[in-house]
Amino acid sequence: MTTESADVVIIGGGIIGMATAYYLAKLGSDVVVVEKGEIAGGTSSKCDGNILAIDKEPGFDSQMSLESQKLVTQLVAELDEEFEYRAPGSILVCESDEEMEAAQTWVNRQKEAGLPFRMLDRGEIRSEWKHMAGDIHGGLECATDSTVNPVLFTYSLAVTAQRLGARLKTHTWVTGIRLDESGAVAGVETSNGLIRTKHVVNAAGVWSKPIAQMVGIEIPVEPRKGHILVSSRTESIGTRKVMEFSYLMSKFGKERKVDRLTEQYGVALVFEPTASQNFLIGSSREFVGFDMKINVEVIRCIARRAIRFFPVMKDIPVLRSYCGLRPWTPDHLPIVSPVEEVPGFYIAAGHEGDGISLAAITGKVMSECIMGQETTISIEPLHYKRFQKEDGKK
Amino acid sequence: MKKSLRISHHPLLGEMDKKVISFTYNGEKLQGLEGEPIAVALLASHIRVLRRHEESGSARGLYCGIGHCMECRVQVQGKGQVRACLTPLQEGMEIQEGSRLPNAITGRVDS
Repeated sequence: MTTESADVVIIGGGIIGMATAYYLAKLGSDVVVVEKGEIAGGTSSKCDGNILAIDKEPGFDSQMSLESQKLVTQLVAELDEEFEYRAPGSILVCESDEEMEAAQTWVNRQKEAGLPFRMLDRGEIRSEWKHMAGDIHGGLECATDSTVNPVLFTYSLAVTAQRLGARLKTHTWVTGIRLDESGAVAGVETSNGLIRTKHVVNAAGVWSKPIAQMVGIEIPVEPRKGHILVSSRTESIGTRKVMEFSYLMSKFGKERKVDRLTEQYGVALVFEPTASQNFLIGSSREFVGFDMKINVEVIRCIARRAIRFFPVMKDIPVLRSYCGLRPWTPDHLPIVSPVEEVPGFYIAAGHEGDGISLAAITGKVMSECIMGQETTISIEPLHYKRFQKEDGKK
Repeated sequence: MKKSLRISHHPLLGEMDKKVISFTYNGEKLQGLEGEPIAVALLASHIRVLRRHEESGSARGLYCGIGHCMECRVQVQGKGQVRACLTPLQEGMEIQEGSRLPNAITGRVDS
């Protein structure tokens, strides 16, 4: 057991923790990251890798993604290692005229918010996607959406943060948060000893709730399980991200016209081609606690949904599948916030499926917040208190 | 013609008398036993390369033999990509080795 000290201790070595570590180290802060397993060993390696605005609520939510996209473009030049970054845009496809109308509304609202969205007609879809089912009505595009390899991205942030002086402690778990007489943060107790510090960032993702409870704070972050299929290497089906429009309905918990299992498991097509000549297929959304077992019924349901949009996939083998837990919050926005009751305690968690998308902007504003600088975007809508107000109303 | 690698008489299991059927591999006419794995039929015909790696083009063959490693993928007419170690041979099957493919993401075009 040793005692050391740091300006800031970050709990969690996933994409959010590493982005925060990088931006803090860049501002000259002495940072320690405490991770209970391996870097990117949790949700950040059990996801796909998108920096998307297309699936964000028009307004603050999508603006935040756009800011993150700009930062990731800078990170390509700033970070020490490559992470398979590309910015080919992404599209949503519609199954009916009703969805096309809803898509038009979505596009109009995004354009009003200043984002590069446009509608795609049936012909445009057909000419780009020769393997897409013939009955697809059309879709929409967000031209700036980009894609990364999430594990490489996390590691790239980690090694660059290390070069800038950050210390990473893997296989080290937090056993307590030490407070001083005034109730402010004084240190982090870990399985490898005490780290004295005045600033702690809770970037523990799906495990952020018990970390917050260590200082008596309740945050409504719950694990939401998602499955992803990995195809074998195959002839290219397409080079950018495709989702079905009703993915938005699934994400925001609205009613869809799909069969019972598709509805039950929150299954919606997400197609993501990779630099490895294969593609990832999602997605599902379930509340089943911390259960990390693959459910073959969900895999089958996702595959069925994918084949509905890309019939050619029925003859392409699935190499393997994996699942991960996404840190869900009730309003689908993350918590990026100081905790005023416990001076020195900060939360950067609850990004559900948007962690890769929002990591850069989250890390940037968290570093600015801790260093007392003006934040790149307002983080008021991301304050953890918004959930306490809701509780007060009940 | 090379000597068959098959065991036709086994000291414990006796005679191996499955039906002999015809199939093609990369256009070449071959014979195998009905229902045996494609990889076995090819191995008995002295064929060990089942696939060229899609990125590098290097040779790939039977590795785990139990369907886990996915290394032995071949193309069967009408069935798409299948694992040679698990897929039973049928009369008239047209089989092609897995081939090197362009990479649409990195832009590598040679195949």
